[in-house]
Amino acid sequence: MILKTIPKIEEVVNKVKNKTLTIEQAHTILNWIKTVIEDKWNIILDTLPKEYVHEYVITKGETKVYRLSNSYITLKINVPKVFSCEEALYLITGFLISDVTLTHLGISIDSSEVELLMDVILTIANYLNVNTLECKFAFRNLAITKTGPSLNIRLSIDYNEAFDKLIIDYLQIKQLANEISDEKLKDFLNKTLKLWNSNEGKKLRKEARIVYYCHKGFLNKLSVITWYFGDGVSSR
Amino acid sequence: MVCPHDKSLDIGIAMSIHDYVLNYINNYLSKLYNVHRVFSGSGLSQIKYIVCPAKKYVIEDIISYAKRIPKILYPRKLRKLMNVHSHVNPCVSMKKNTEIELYGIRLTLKKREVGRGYVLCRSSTDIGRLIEIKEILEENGVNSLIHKSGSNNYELYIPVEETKRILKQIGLEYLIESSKLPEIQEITNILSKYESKWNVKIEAGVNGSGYRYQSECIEFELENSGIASMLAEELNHIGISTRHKKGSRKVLICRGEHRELIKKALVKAVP
Repeated sequence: MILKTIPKIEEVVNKVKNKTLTIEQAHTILNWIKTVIEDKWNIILDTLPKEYVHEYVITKGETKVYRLSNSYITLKINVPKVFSCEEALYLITGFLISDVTLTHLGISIDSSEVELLMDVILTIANYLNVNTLECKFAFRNLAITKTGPSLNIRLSIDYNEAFDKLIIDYLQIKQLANEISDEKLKDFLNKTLKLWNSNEGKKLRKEARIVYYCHKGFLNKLSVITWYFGDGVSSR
Repeated sequence: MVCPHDKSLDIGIAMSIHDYVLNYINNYLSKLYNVHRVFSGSGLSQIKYIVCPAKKYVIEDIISYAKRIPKILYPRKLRKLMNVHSHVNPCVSMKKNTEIELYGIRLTLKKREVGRGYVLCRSSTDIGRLIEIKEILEENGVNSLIHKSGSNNYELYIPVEETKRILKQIGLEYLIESSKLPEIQEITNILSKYESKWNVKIEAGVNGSGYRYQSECIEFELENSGIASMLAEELNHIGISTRHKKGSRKVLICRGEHRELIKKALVKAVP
């Protein structure tokens, strides 16, 4: 819906619909849309029908956030082969233990950085060994930060059989708890299973995921790179 | 020139995880990088920094990753790292500690973090192994102590004097001999060239392991920062360690034996 409020954006979106773009083109278009929406946010907010925007405030830091609904575009992106399937697997695990979520519906990631989304697309396409990948970009929410409005984009990619071995569910963790010999880790995993659906359990799942990937040997030096892109901190 | 400090390139990963999970990851990754450990900190701290020399390898890996993907797709963290990376060289200031074998036990000779002097030590997460080593050393008449270092790491060390004695015994005392101090005449020659105000100041500092200390320093105040850095450089040249901040008019001498030497020189220069 948000894409229809500004004629310029609607025009561009109609042009790229049903076309295959290179990854560089997709990056440029998304970045352009993101910038235009951020720049013209005040106009958009006035013209946008009320049912498509929901305002709420995050108490921490008092950031105002607008949740947007029904605003997305689907792009077919042509991806160059940069990494071998094996390398891409290690890169994906790095993303999976930081920002990217994998469920039986598919892969998704929320970020305000278009570059990061593109890196995820590149890695996944290389892992699946495909030339083109269909990606859905949803404009999920917009936060008013100190530096102005910042648009968050959610990338989702459909589920593929190749993700089977990467998916971690209750069953996988249960199996891991049986296989692992370290007593403390075993206790920890059993605790995670017990609390699985609670809020605390969700936090513990992240730790369990890292242990699982280590145990399976899916974590590698390459994973550390993408892990750093997601959760990394530098001193400057 | 060796980069004196590469803090600008500290990299870490934000994760709040349990100690034993961190340990598990550390063990797993250190095998891959062939290092002692990868992440610093305990489970309590939010950010786990990557320590040398693993830091160097991780940065090298990131740079070679960057060379493969289109430049336009660099995420913010990668752009930042590429900018900083061209100016500094990570982990060059890190010295490898000397290892010495004593009664079939491999010990590391390292400088004490607090105070001066060297100790022979061995660190491990397994306290049982350290007690075994302590017993072997005791059989051979060597005293040693075990203390906790870090959240689940223990360290065995041989006290400073004992270490000195052992090294003398096996003929390796040159490893811990401090460099020769300069003559007082050399210092007075340098100081007489500069016109400066000086006074004694108490400086507070924090060392690498978080221990707060106070030390007495002699502070020289000069005409401008250029002259101050010239004085600092000249003193460094004859082996006196100084503290001088770029752009500051002050030069400090805090190290005990150097400070006393400067005091003597000042008394001589200004009777």
